[in-house]
This record gives sequence, structure tokens and C-alpha cells, in this order.
Amino acid sequence: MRAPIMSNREILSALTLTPDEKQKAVAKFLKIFGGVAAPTFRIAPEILGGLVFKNEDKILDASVAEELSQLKKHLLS
Amino acid sequence: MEGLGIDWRLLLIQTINFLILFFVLKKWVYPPLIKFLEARAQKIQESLAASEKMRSELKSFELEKEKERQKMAGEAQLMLERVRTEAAAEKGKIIESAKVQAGNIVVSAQAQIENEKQKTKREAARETIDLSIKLARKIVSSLSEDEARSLIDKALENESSDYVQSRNS
Repeated sequence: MRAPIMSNREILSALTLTPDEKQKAVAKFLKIFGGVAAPTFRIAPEILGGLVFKNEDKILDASVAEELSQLKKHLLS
Repeated sequence: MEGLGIDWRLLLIQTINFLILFFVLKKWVYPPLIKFLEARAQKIQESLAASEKMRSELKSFELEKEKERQKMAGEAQLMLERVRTEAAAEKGKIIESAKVQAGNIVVSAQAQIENEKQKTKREAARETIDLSIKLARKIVSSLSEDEARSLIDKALENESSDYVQSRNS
């Protein structure tokens, strides 16, 4: 029996991941969000660096762009 | 008597003359004359009395007038003093009000200047932060591949940043 296909499960990175990096990323993704369907990978230079994990309406943003954004908010507060 | 040089006939005639004259004067001249003199004296006395009375009344009037004048001078002085006091009080009030207004203006101006200073500081800080973030983005964009991969490793290994958010938050 095939597992249901879950849409909107993806991992964003600023550059192409190596196979080792992909494996580790998928493992982290499944650890956080559960499920069995593997996420897709997408290149997004706007994140500058790091990774962004997206699952349906949930996001885990570990990107450099997000860190800089949080830093700016903190400095302006 | 003739030895003394006195003629007794002449003396007798003169005496009779004198008596006749005396009698005539006493009977017909002296009474009206005395009456006239008395009336005149009376008139003079009355005039003097009237004059004295008038002088006395005039003096009394003068005194009354002087009293009245002094009273009015006193009242005028009091009024002048009252007006001076009121004017001084009003002047004091105006000066005090002007001082308060000037003080308020100064405080308001100082507050405005302080606000402007703080606003300028905040804007400068914001610009500095924006510039710093832009610079950081530029630096990160120009990292080498190894440096970029180390960021990916950090994202994979760092569990303290595993904070899942909803997409709309």
C-alpha cells in the first residue's frame, strides 16, 4: 500500500546540497514533523545560507536571512 | 469890685445872657442834638454788630469750606492710593502671568528639542542598523562554498533553533 503523498513538504537551501547533507536534512525533517513522505528540495538564494524546513502550514526557519531579520528586530526594539 | 476891674452890671448881663442861652439850648437844642447823636451812636453800634456778625459768619464759612476742602483732599488721596494699589496688583498679576507663560514656552521648547534629539538619535540608530544588516547580507552572499556549507551544517546540527512556526505567524 502506497503512503499518501503529502504536498508542501520541502527543504530550502541557498545552494545545492550534497547527498550527505540531503540525508541529514531529511532525517531532521522527519524527526521534527513526522510522517513518512520525504520532502522535496528547492534552491532559494534569498535565504542567504542555512536551511528552511516547510511542512504544510508549519515552518522551521534556520536560515541566515531569518537570523539577520531577528537581529534587526532585537536591535530596533 | 471896681477895684478888681470887674463891672458887675456887665457881669450880670452876661450871666443873664448865659442863662438865657443855657435855657434855650437845654430846651430846644440839646435834646434833639443828643437824640440825634444817640441815634447815630446806635446806628454805628448796630453797623458794628452787623459787621462783626458778618465777619464771624464769614470766618465760620471759611472754616467750613476749609474743612470740606480737606475732607475732599483726603478722599482724593485715598482714591489715588487705592488706584495705585490696584494698578500695582494688576501689574504684578500681568508680570506673573507673563513669567508663567514664558516658563511654559521654555519648557515646551525644551521638550520639543529633546523630542527632536531623541527622534534624530532613533533615526540614526535605525539607519546604522539597516546599513549593518545590508552589509551582513552582502558579506554572507559573498561567502565561499565551504563557508556556506558550514552554515548548512550548523542549521542541521543546532537543535536550540528548532522553533517551528505557523506559516501565517
